[in-house]
Amino acid sequence: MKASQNPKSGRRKPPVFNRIMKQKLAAVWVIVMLALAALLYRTYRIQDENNEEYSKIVLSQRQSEYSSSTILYKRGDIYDRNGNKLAQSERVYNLILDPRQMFEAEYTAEDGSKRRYVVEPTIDALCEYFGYDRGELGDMINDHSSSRYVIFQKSIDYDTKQGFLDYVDQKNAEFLKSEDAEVRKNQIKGVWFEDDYDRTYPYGSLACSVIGFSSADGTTGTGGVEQYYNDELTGTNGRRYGYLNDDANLERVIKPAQNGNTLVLTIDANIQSVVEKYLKEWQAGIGSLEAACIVMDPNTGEILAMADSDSFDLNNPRTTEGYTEQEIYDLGLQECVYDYRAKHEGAEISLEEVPEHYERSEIVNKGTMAAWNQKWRNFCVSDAYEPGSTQKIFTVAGALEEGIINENDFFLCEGNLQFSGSGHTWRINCINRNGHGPLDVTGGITNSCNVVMMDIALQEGEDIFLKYQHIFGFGGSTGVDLPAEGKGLGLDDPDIGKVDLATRSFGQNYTCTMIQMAAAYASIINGGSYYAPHVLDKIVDENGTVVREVEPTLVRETVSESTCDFIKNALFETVSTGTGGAAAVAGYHVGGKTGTAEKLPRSEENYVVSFCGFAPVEDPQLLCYVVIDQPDLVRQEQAHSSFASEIFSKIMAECLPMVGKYPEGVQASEYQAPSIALPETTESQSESESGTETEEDQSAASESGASGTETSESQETTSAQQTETAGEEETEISMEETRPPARDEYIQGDDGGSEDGGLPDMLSDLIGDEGIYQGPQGDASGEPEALSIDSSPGA
Amino acid sequence: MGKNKKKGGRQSAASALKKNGAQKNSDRPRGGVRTRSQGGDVRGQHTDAAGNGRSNGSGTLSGQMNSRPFGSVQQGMLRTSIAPAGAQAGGRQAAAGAAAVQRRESPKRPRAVQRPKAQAPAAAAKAQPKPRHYYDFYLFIGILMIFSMGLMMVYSSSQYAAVMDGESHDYYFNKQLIIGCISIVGVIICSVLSGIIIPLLKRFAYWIFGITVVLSLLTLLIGTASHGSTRWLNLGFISIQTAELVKIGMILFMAKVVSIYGFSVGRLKQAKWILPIMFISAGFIATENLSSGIIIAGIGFSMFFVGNRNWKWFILLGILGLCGLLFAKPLVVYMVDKLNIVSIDNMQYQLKRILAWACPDRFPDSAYQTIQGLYAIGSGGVLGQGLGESIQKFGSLPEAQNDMIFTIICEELGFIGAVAIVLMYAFIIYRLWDIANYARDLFSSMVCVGIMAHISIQVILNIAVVTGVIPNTGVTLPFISYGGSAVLCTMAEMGIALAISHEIYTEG
Repeated sequence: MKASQNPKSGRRKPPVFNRIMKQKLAAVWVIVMLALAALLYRTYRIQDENNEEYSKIVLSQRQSEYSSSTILYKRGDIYDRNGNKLAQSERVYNLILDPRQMFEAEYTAEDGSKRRYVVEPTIDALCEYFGYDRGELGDMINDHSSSRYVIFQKSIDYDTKQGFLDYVDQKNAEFLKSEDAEVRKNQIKGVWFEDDYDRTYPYGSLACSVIGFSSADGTTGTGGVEQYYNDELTGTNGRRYGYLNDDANLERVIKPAQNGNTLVLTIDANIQSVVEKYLKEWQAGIGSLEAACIVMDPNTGEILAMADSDSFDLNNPRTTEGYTEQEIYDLGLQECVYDYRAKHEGAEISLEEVPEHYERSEIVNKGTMAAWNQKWRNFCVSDAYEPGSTQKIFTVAGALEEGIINENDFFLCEGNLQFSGSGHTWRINCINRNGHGPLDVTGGITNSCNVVMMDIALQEGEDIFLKYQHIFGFGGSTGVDLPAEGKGLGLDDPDIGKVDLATRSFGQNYTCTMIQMAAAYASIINGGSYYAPHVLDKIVDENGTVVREVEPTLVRETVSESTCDFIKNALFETVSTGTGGAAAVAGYHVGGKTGTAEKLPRSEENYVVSFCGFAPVEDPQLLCYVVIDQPDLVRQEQAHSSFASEIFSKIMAECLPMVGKYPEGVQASEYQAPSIALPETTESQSESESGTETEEDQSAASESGASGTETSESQETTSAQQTETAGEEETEISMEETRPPARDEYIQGDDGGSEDGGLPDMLSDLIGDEGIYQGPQGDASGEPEALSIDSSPGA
Repeated sequence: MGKNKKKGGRQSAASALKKNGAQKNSDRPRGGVRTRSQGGDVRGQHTDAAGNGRSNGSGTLSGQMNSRPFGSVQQGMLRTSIAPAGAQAGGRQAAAGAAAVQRRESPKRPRAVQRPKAQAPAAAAKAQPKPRHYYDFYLFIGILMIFSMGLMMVYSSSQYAAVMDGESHDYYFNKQLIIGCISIVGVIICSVLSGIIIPLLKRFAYWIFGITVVLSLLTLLIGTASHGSTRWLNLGFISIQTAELVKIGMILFMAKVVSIYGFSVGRLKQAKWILPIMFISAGFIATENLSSGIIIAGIGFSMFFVGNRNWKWFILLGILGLCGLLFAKPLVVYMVDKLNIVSIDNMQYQLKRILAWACPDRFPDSAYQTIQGLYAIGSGGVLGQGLGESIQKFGSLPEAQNDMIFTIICEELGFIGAVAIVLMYAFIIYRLWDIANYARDLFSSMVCVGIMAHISIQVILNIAVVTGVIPNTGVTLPFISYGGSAVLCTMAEMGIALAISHEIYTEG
């Protein structure tokens, strides 16, 4: 338009894309093409001249300060409730060799030969400083002469690393100053350090099953809270990297690693070590297949200690210490049988046939894995067994709660109860074959009378009985925050017969785990609140801020307070006048219940003896549940539930002062020394010996001059006497010697010969010959990664 | 001729594209071609020029100008695309020399589209072939190819950085892909609506330029800061880098100026306002974004050069520039030595870059990116490390998907890859050149010249930077480098260029 408004210029010079413009455009095009060609030539020259050199630089600077590198996160520490460090990650350094860099550094000497000026000096320096074997190091470097990354040594501490770097600087400076021209060329190069973390457990085997251990790189935990809270413990790696700012200058930025969170457990290292001490003592004495103990705070569900006799050193979990070669081989054979069955769709081979199908090394390998898993397995949480008489209070509690029985009801015990049905008649014996006579409900508990329990259960009927079993958490998950929790067997099917019901009323024919039993007891003791047992107190981030505090999780209300009071009183009576006398603790009012369960197969006459009790009765602070699986006794000897009761008594005597409960007539101040002595010992121990603390030292320290310990010792003697005089239950059981060996302890066929007709023994049907209760042999059936699977044993 | 013109004028006033074409057909093919694109405003200028087929010096009728090149086009690059036309015209076989003859002697056939030997002018006139829209599919496909190549390299060079930034590995790739797809759709729409878009652009060229400049002014005042400088304007729904828009604005501005004044732009009367506008707008962009300022000035200058009769000043300038390039480095090195400059930390960043470019070994922090780029190029060798095998992208070369992507191409695909990329650019530039030559009117031609200049300058500057020929200026590689605004604007330019190509008529 402007053009038309400007007719002059328009007319004279109509602006069109004329030839000059085209020529100019062509010129532009030519210039552009020339420029592009020149730039291509320049590119070619860069590549042609510097290809090799730049390639090397590019490769080498991957490790250099410029490029981005990872900053490892620190796996969170684990503390007990008193602030003792149970697991920690320490910064260490890995010594990395770069042999290629060493070999590439060469020059042509005057005589024309190639001379390497780095390899020898570097080897010299390494050998001199670290004391490595020269030959070994030299071979290593020669073998990997083209490699750039060889981890030569792990876990070097900061001082050593720094010392070596200083030493290298000093040496290199010396070379430069040297008179000799050849020496002057020498250099120490190709050695560097990589950050790493080392996971250590200062208390060694203390609470090993609860803590678990982590892999070397700190990314995965195996067993215990290391596994269960792995996500909390791990963090996010940070990064060191460069970016270009607006001036196109490189800015180096550090994005710090997000370290893992610290766990504070409810475990009390002192109580834990007391528990482990006495379990160890027991194993060293009479001993058993397995002994385990849980100590809980019944008011909150906090687990204060949890231990079994299969302890292992967390700093070195992969040992087969305690197993002979033959044992491992045998375990391996068993594993191979299971393996074969799994791989061949159920085809069976006998143990003898195993070597035909498997290499010896493979068998040993499997055996080793099985042995590890046995050690790592947390008996208290994963293994289910028939609980025995400790069950009785729940039978009573359910019936009371439903109003089916009255506190003052009387039952007549005549020594056995007979059931008839499906063509068979069963006689189920009481522990006292002669009968207890008339007993009230309390008496049924204190005397651990099977007949009373059976009567009660029969009155209840199976529905109510099972309902209360479930209310008390049997057959289900307790919600404990530990991996591989077992659930037990035998309570899923609501359709049970009278005989089953009767046997279950006193804790046979179904299985439960220790944690289930302990949690159920806790609910009775605290007045009817079932809290999920837990080991985690709180999660703290690296700055010390509490990320998450675990409040007791009320799972459900079980029974009313009045029922609880009644049961508690009965438990108190049991210890003071009944079968649990061995559990008494001098200076305290203790309540509890014994249990003696016969294991499958019944003919073996192996027993699980247990005691679950609490103290002080007026204000319960501790609940302690001790289970001894299969005490090492010759067949004729009877397992005493007093074995467990005695351990209970010793543990309680030592631990109650730690939670602020002192024996009657003793001032708190007198107890301060012993209660503090233990942690101090362990602390100093762990510091001085860096995590190689031994149980012997601990117990020695705690026993020396501790008045509380003396008390408990004196208690031992009294309880031993009690065992002899008041141990009715045990004496009764010993009478069982007279019965035919192949019979169930409690259930007899009518004519003594009809057990083939099918014992109402659901469990043996359910599990077949693998055994419900997973003792070590049964354990072998588990896969190597059994610990990481939340499976109920035998399921 | 006057008649002819008039007719054209009338028709274009009627303006509807199809109608226009139809009338044309019934009329005379070339008249139709001419009128439509020129619209009302150019009409007058052409009136008397129509007859002067061969008078190069004075203004010639654009129709004539077009007619000649078309002959060459057919012989050259357009050959294939016109094949169908040729087939249509297949019945009219002509002597081998016909094309040459036609070129020389038929000033009235503005856009005769023929294959050599295929069509005699007489025959064409007789048959009254329909004029058809030409469309530069070569350019379109070339753009698709180079953009796809760029996508591949963006993914390769950014996936590590994306993961390290806490994004998914294809974060940058996806963004680039989405923008690319949107752009391609835009390009196609632009091509189809060429008859509307080109006149609109022409009509509002000054306005567009003004708006882009105002936007970039606004950016200075209320822009979003990123990496320390304010280059982004947040429009609520989208953030744009306004400097990219100014590039388009400058192209349109210069095209309009040249299309109005012709060679007069070289005269003092016009140059005295054109050049200041050009350089002031470029200069003030340069305060925030030096590279864009340089490119804008470069575009304006190139178009000024093309739209100018003068040669010698430009040759002189060119020689000066070349000398500057050759002697700058030694000079800077000398100055650094002389002044004993040890630290450049507190200097202005442009100065830093120049010093770092001249003495990379002395100021390694500032020269870091360039050095790392050279390492990448050098380590690639002839055949490269293989696609995806770059080592430099793993942290050593930060933001490799942006300015430095050419180095990753060199590292992964080697010299071969670099040649391939440069050839693709050469092809695109060549197509733009061709479109400029045969465009419907001067405005269209100049727009193509500007676009061509823009692409050329960016490619040259980018490769020159990464190969260390010139100081680091932060120029992206068109079509290949990652970046939303840059891709959108480059693609918009391509859309305009393709629209212009669509406005070329062929006779078939």
